[in-house]
Amino acid sequence: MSNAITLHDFGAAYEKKTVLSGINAAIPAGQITAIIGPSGCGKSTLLKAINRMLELETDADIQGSIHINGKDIHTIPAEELRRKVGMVFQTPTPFPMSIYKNMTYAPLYYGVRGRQKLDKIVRENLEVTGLWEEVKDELNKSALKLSGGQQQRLCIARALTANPEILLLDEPCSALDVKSTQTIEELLLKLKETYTIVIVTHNLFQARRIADNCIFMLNGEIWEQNTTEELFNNPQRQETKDYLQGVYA
Amino acid sequence: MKIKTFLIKIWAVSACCLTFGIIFFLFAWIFVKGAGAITWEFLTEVPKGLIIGTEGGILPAIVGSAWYTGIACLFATVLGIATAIYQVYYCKHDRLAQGIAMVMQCMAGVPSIVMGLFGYSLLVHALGWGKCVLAGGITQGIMILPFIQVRAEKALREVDPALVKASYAMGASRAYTIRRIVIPRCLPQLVSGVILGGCYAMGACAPLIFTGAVIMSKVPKDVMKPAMALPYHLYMLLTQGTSAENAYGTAFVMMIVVLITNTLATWFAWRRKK
Repeated sequence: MSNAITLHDFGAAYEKKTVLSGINAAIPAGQITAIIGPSGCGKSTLLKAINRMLELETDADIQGSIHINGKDIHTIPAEELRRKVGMVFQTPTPFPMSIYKNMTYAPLYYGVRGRQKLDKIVRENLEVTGLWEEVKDELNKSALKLSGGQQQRLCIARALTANPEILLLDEPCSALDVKSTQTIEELLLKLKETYTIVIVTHNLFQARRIADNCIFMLNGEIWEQNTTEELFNNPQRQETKDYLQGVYA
Repeated sequence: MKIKTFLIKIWAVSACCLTFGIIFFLFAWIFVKGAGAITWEFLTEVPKGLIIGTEGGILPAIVGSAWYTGIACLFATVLGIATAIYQVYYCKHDRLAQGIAMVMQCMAGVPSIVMGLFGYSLLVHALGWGKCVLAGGITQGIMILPFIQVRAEKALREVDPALVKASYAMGASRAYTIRRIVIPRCLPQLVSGVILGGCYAMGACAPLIFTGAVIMSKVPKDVMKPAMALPYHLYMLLTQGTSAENAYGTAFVMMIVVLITNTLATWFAWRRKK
């Protein structure tokens, strides 16, 4: 099995405060890897480092390296990297335009022209996310009028329109109800056949339900990583045990 | 304690009434006094009479003001919005951004008559354009540049950063994000900023005195020739004691234009919000 993402001694610090240090991890391709850990442990920061969104927010000092399919992410232009590594955020971020325009935003940027080609991209990606049946008659409706769960699925579908290889999700269900969460989890299980998925979650049940592998983080370091089953049933370190039992919550 | 609250309330209410009273009185006074001067001839003819301005109309001044204001808006919009975009999205050094903001503040503080003298020395004199519509328009444009830039910058900063990040996260460039997300998002504020800036330019007389405005001209057709302007015409009618009635008429026309453009700006912003 090949690794889609590998991190070597990766670390990040801003304003002289270390937020990540000594991160060594290998994220296998075609699987779901969950990053869990208490609030403020650096989960989201690590995720944002992978598609270099981190450098847009702060002047972070970076150590070590991250490789995507064997390529150092700092040797490819940030825009190209972000095309390969899609990202979905905690709160849904539909653009204030129609559903159709949301879906053609990236294809138009990447030079796809022609109504038929665009229609096909819109349809295929909405179908993957199960949104097609719900919105096919109102593609010109504002995306802001969709429900929260639909908006988040639209954002996933929109991320897919850029043809990424890897999908990063930053607590994608934390703003959603139980039913929408379930729909998105089913969607992710379906997507892992085509994409490598990394999901940050504070919901341990969610990690257990969908992830193949788990990374447990604490204080900016990876404390333990293993298959989900091993990590939950047989944690090697006391801190992992404590976290799983809810000590940090 | 109760008395104190009561006094503050009285103060606030009376200040409010006074402000509204003054504005209402101003509009009412000009409308009552000026409406009488408004005839079809007044709006469509050139100034006439033994002393120019006592008879005839103000058409060249209306068209001239439209020219000056149009040029000023074009000049200030292009530069102002570009500066704002640079400040918010491209400038990476805090010092430089602060420097730009300071320059803009200083520009906003320059008296309009000094702007006029600057326009005169640079455009009319040094560049040898002579008094003309282009020189006047650009001088007014420099005057309203900080006005538009400050509003544009505020509007750009109010765009939800999550949307911008979502766009970057798909690999879209800054330029594409600004064009497709940011500008459409704050278009109402940008347009209303430009319209308000235009009103400010249209009413300003000082920048035009040395740079473009004249007592009498034909309806302007060439930007390299001088032209009449409403505020300058008003100023001349009054200072020369030519015709108080026509001065009120000119003021009336200016107020109507300001009212209409302001209403348009508000309506546009409101419609886009819906």
